[in-house]
Amino acid sequence: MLNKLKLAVLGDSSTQLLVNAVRKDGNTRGYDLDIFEGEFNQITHLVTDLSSDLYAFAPDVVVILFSVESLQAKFSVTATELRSGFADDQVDEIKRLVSCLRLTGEKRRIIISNFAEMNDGVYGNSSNKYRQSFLFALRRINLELMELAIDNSEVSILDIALIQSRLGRNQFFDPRLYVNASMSFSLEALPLLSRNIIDLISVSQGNARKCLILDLDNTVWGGIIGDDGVEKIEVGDFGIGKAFTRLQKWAKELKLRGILLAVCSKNSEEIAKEPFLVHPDMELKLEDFSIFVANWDDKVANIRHIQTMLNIGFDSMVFVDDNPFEREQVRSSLPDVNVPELPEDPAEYMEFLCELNLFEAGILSEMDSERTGMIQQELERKKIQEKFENQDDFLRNLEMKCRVSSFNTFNIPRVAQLSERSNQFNLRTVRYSEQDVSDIANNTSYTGLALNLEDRLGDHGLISVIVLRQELTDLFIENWFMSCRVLKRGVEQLALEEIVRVARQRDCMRIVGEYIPTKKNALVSEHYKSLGFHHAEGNIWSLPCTDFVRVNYFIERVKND
Amino acid sequence: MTRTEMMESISKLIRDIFDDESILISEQSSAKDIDDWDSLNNIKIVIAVEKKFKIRFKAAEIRTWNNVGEMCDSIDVLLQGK
Repeated sequence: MLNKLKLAVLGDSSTQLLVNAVRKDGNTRGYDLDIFEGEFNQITHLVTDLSSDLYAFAPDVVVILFSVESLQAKFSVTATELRSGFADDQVDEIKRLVSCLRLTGEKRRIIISNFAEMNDGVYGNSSNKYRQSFLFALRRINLELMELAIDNSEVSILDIALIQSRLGRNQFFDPRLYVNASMSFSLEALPLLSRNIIDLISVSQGNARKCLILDLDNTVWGGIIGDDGVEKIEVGDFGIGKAFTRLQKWAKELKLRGILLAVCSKNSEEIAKEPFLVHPDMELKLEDFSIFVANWDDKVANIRHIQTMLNIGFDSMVFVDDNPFEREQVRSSLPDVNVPELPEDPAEYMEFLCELNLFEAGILSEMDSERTGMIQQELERKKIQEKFENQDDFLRNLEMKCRVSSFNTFNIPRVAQLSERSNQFNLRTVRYSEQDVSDIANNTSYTGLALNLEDRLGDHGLISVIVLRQELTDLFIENWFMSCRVLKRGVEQLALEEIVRVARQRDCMRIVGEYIPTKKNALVSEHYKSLGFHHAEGNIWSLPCTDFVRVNYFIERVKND
Repeated sequence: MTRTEMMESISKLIRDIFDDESILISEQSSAKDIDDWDSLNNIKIVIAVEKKFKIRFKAAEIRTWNNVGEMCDSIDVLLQGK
């Protein structure tokens, strides 16, 4: 089943060929894209005229592609004395476009390209020395676009400047295509541009990758630990160790921003762990990994095990292994796992992996960097659970505490982030941007509930969100999503009690819930039924407040507002 | 390379681009003869021909051809200069 999505592509250069590429790439990545292609060079008109065809189309995602050639044309007709303010004027204009797009679509995602760098041949290197140079304006605009994206959660930047620096100007831009067809991108540039656009669309739809699984021998270090021994493996300055150190540093940075690391290696565990414990040049340490699997089973079984333990989808995993045989095996058995076809020469690993853009980031929050620790606690919990025969005893032993808050400035980014990330326990899969969440907080027809959970092993942070909307005497559950890590802990029961409380405060007679099936949320198809709702029609369920029966759970409720 | 061999490889490139094995190309063929032969597909054809023959046309040259035969003349000239 492909996800349907309405995409608008606007550009000040010819975009037809890029649009074809985006449609095709979207399809292989699971999106059925309905694409509106703006007329050539009509960005301002289409975006600022609220009655334009663009708005009649009502896109979910708008991509605006700016070309440096058009920017230069504008620059050249700007009076010299106004050129030092050119960048600010351009950025203000782009801000105006963004506010029009936001005004007209609540959940609309906006992808704006930055500008490829070019040498206009006027000041040479000294462009860097003069405010009135084109390069000064161009780089300043690119920097300001980053600020714009920081300030507007629905805006992402398509980094054309970076893509061009990867390909080189001569490959990225074909002057003959520009002269003959107003194309600012060469045919060679299209695959990379298209893939990056789909990457941004994909994370905006909640499909960010979350886990990097690493093989060890000849992937994380050079050589074979079992044969060569810890002092002979290549890492740091020894042999081609630099190549592996670069990969380790990359993995470490990913971990710092919330990507989970796992090891999946054919080795005996003790030998595999030794370099992490004793080798002074290892960037990665044992505590960086959420899970460490080293044994002689096949990797498919081990990755399945990792998936179960971490409780994330196969499609959010990347498996890096130097061995083509292992890669092929994993690819054929677990097609959703992303398995890059690593180059043979380890020196080339990093350039190759970076170009694939495996870990495009969605909305981030401070909690991300704590994730590895949280997963380690979770594995600890699983161990405790195995000790208890009785589920209730286990839950009581956890000493859980739940804090229920309305949406506030502190939790708004987290609520938006969880909304983007939750795919399995998500009843209607409505995604909320930060702006949406704060709008809900200020709308009296809505009540938002944000649930935080902690237990004696640690803090889970925000784990569930419920968005309630009053419709006369009905309280409609516009969405309910929860982190799957806290399934079967009694949170659902506590949450329902909260929903009933809200319903009673608002003098609502009944609570109405809907389950909208997606490819990933079968987990909650029986959710309302299991909570005692009555089946109304189709996927609609309802619970008259008078029918609510409190179910026992083992979570202490902490009030803070 | 003979003119016939050149025409054969160009025909193949054009059939691939339009994904239509039934297309017949002669020296007189032009954009008018094929429905989808618009300016963008024209670019694809030009780039494919450049890759195939490892040559590079000038921007103005591309605009002057009235049919496939005239493009072949340009290819001939470029190949001789190699």
